[in-house]
Amino acid sequence: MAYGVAAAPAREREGEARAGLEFRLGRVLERARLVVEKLGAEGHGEGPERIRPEKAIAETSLLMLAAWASRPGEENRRRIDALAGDLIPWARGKRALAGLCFEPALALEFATGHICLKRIGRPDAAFDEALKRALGSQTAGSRERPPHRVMEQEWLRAGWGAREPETEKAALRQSVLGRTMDLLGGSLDDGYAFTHALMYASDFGMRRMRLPRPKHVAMLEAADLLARCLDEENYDLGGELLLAWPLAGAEWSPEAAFAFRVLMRAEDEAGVLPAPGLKPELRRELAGADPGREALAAGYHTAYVMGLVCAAAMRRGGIPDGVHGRARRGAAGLMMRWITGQGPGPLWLREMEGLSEADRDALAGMVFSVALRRKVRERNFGGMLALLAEAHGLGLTDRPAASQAAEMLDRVRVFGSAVQ
Amino acid sequence: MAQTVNHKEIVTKLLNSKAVDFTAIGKMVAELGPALAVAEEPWEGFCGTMRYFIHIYRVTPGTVFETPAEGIAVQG
Repeated sequence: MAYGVAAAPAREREGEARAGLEFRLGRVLERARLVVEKLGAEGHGEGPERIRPEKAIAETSLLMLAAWASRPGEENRRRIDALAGDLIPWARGKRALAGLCFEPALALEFATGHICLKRIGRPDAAFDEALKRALGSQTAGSRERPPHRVMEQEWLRAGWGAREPETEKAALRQSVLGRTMDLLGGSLDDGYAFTHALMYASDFGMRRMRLPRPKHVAMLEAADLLARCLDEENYDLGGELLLAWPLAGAEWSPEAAFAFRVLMRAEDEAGVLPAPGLKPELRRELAGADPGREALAAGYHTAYVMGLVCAAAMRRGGIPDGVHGRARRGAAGLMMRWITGQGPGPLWLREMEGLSEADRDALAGMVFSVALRRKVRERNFGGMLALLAEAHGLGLTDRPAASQAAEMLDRVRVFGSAVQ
Repeated sequence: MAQTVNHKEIVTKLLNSKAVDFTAIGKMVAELGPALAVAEEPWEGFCGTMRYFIHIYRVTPGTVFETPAEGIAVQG
């Protein structure tokens, strides 16, 4: 991938970029302290939408660990230390201990906070002993889990110091990291399975990992799913997908660099990276100085995703200073003709307007992927075919969304024959 | 295990294949209604097997143990 020429020396640009990432991470860490303060005791909500305190504590602990691993500056090291102090009473409190006692099959979930604290140098022997008893119980392995959840269990176990490499390897092979994602008809849950599996396999970027299939194959799928998330303004999954590049040790592609710009802009405009479907009044409250429990419960996870992305990028040396890449001239303009709709549209469209023509062309494949997904949603098979034909002529179909669309049309043809 | 796929080749094959009235087929699919868009539905919940991320042991609804001693005391 070619990079454009910028005005300032590379080292200076890297310094500014890192300072920006540190600032964003710091803002998320400050918000995390509010999450612990207000949700640590009782969580929030009722029914399926309820955010249990254990979930808030566990996810805050993961953020803390990722931030710690990012080689932060002094200010963020102080924030991480303060956050650790806030977490300890909840991560090792009565509820966590009761969980170990009565649900040993969920012991590692209940111990997530404890394990993360231990990894950053804040151990606790008494909690370790309780965890050891729970994991040594007959029923400790009674819960059935999908592969990416098994990977989570093994990641937690390894973090605690009881690694089981063979179980890890088997779960990795069985997980979505070893399978093709359905980019046109799959659920967002599959996307989350991918992102979570990647987090655990890479130990949040702290470990070089070997994927069960070629890395570039998985990255192409991540790129197509990321394009969908940008178009749907789902920055929660989109942000987690963006993690794929630093966690997998992959060079930032033009599309990934662009997606990072979109996420930063979304965060800057809203004051916090907005969760999908978050009510505007809650978004404003979350971005404010003293958000309430409802706003925090509804929006903290996506805010944390930005923190994870910044931390991962910092660990890998930052982000590219622009969106540059080799592309056929005019390709983006041709693909943009397939992007129709009323109103201003999603943020990525507005961000594209600020790019040079050359940089837009570097994103022609992403625009094609978005247009294709929209045609699929509309069940506009004739449109899909025409779009595929044009994109193929521009050399843009060397990506999984394209071949999956072609296979879909082939199946549609068979369907048409069968029903006539 | 996923195989490495030649995306361009698959697209080429489709584009070179016999022409079909995809628009007409699209209308047929549309008649089947939005129920086809099932990807976002929790199939795992279809048979009641959907599990929550985590749950606290309860003897009676609304009771949560704070300490092991409380749990033992309630169980008797």
